[in-house]
Amino acid sequence: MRAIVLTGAIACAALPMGCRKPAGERPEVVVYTALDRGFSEPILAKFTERTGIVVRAKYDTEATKTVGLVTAIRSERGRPRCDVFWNNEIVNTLRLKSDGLLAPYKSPAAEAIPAAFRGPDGYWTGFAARARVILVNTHLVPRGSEPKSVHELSQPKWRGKAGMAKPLFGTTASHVACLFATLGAPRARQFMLGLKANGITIEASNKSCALMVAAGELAAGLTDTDDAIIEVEKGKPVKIVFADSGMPGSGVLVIPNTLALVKGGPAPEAGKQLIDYLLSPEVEAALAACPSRQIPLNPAVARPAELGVPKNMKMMPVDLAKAAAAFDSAGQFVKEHFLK
Amino acid sequence: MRQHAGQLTSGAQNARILANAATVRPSRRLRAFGRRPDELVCMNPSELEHPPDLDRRRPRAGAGRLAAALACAVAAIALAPLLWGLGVAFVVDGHVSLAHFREALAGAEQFRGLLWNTTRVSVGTAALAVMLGVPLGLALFRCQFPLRRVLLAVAVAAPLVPMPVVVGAWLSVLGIQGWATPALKPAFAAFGMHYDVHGLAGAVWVMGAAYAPLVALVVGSAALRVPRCLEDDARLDGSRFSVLRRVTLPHCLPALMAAAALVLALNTVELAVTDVLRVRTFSEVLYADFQLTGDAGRMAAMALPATLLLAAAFAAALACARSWWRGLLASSEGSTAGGARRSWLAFGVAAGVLALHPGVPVASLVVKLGSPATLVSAAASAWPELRTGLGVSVLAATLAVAAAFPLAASARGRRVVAVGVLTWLAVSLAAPAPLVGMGLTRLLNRPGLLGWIYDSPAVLALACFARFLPIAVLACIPAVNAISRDLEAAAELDGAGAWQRLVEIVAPLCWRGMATAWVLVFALSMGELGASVLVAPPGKATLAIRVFTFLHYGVDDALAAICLLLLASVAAPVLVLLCVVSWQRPR
Repeated sequence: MRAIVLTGAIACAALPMGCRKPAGERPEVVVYTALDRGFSEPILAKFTERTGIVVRAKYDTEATKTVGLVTAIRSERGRPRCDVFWNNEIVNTLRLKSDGLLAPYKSPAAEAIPAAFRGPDGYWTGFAARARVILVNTHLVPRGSEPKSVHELSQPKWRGKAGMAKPLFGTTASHVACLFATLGAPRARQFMLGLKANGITIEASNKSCALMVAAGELAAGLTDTDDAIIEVEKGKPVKIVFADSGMPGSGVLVIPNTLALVKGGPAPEAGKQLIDYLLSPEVEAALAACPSRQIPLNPAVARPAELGVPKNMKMMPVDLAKAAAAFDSAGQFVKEHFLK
Repeated sequence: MRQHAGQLTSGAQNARILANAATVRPSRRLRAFGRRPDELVCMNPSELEHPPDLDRRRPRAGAGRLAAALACAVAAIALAPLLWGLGVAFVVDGHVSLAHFREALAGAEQFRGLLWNTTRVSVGTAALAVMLGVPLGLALFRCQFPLRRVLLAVAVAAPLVPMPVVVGAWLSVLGIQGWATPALKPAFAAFGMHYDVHGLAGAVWVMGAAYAPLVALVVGSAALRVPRCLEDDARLDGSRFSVLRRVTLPHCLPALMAAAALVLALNTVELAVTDVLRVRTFSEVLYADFQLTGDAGRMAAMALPATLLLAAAFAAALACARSWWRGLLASSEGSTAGGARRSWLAFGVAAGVLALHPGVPVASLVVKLGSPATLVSAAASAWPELRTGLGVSVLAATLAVAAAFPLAASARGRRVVAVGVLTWLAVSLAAPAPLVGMGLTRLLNRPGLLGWIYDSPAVLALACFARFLPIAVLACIPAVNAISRDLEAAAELDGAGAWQRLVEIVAPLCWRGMATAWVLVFALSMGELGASVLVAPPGKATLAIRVFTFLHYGVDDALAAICLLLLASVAAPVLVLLCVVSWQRPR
């Protein structure tokens, strides 16, 4: 009998380690964030410091970037426990909206964000963007020979020398979905198969793709500006190319972080406060100043000069709703024909 | 029976003495006599006949059955997530259907590719682990050399190093930013090969080196039980190496098969290494595809055939090695040295293999750390995850031992129960961890008490409990089997019930087995990833999840510090247990 009591006492003593405090003692808000923990955690900590609202954050794993959190929100639809979804891209936010899992909220702080980067019905708001770029190794790629377009990566010149992250997760998956929406499925498939035939290396993530280019393992890699700029600022022999910037009918894909209120979340009011805070110029300035150099969408916040964003950079014209609708079929194609 | 002060006691008198001892509560007995139960046979019979401050309690009828029922209920709770995770393969929209299997078969080519990859990784890892582990085991358990006990302690702790830490440490050596990479690249190029730690070869190296100490412990403990007379006879006709080849190794073969099967099973369900090193295996694809689609049924349908095959192979190997398995921990007395002569060759083998794992990886993490200040700041930033991990692991280990001990006791002498436990163990070890996570999500994410558990760190403890309860049972069984039936029989004669015999006779004598089970489950829970990453509540991640998350960004000083923290929290209880067992060993 004493063994049972002792066992139960030990077990109960271990339970409070990290257990949730009773409701009512400290307000809480639950956020699922796909932005790298190193960048999002300090901002969330500042929010708690300012408002007293404890933030319980679920971070992403690189292995299943963004999609893992989306699947979690979907699987919890019967009993949502997330209040705010902080996505590091836009396509999957739109997929959640079309599943009916988001609630509309037009934040006062969103007024300053250009209309192109907010949902017209208030279901999502974009901020702090990144661009899809090609990072080239300047020791391996002579000046003037850099690829001008992502389509060049399927040419023989780049055979076995280029890389990209696995196009099933994160911004790479979104980029592929956008290509399916913009070029049409047949041309997009042809492009992807061209990359595969050209021996493109599939890396685990945008970060590892950037690392491989910086280490000279690859001559060029398709990645995001936040991963690319870190290698530039480390002094590695790399250069960021805003491919397709001046190409007719094309452009640089700019992917904003997006915020959305989850329908039925346990603390919607605290969620709205968090969204208001994250959309503030202060947060965009912090994200622009941090090592990832996110591109602020609020015109009042200065762009980080280090990125070298071209003054007249042309953005890719993409129907985001069409891209969200094409996400699943693009993913199926990637699994069956591209990654085999 | 033993003599005491020249008196010879009869068998019946001794039985009554033992029975009296069995009906007395341990604390009172200790106060009265200051002896262990098995030492009471040495006491003066007259003192035991009428102890002044002892009361005789009526044995509780039915308490033994209640304990067995509780233990079975607990086992069912542990099995439920896994059974759900596998059973959902047969359910489509609430109806029993084979549609998921048909869908999985439609991707037969993908399935074959995964099976081939998984087989290559698993067989390669098992082969390397055996190649390194057998010489290590023989050196540690059959030879004498300086620092043998220290190296043995390292070998015991090494298999418990969490895999995220192992792969992170090797990346700091062999990865893009690894210190050995600049030397290895030209060396590989000289042979016309391209150097890259990512891929099959890298995964086999990392996991093979990590599992070698495990193989060494299994094979070494079997080598201890080789009949000396056979070896002595063979020694007359040949050299030491021919004795090894003709007598020792053949006797260790069943244990070697069990070790290889265990490595195969652990390897097949491993997620962290294969994901980081980009090898597409069942476990990694199951995790990634479930995250991508949320389709638990199709994932379970894909995993079920491989799980059953592997479980059958593992169960068969365990059955072959059951004599070794039962003898584990049964006898910890006696010298483990094979002779009086020191063997520097054995020292070289042991030091060399253990330098591969954990030596080089851990040293690399320490070097990567840079300064102790990094460790302090990493500890401060990782404290919430460390606290959650420690709490979850303590809870899981305590619950597992509390459930494992009665289960192990109920399996004793009951073939049906033993076969059931073996089957459960095989299936649990062979099933990919994400299946348990999927099952827990579906079972617990509901309103009410279940939802409260799902939202709390208790769900992490449940995931570890479900995954590692079979290992706790496996650790308890040899200790329970080693208890002489005579002690219990004597207690039963005097009316002690099953519960009393279990708690007051068997349990105190099995403390080593139970402590080992606790430490094993604790260490494994600290490194658990496959199920935890799916069920971790917001704000309640463990240190293993944090390490896994950051591994993809490369190994910097902060990550090295967190890996060392995780390693220290796993190693500490292992070393404490080793010290206690060593101190308690009769000299």
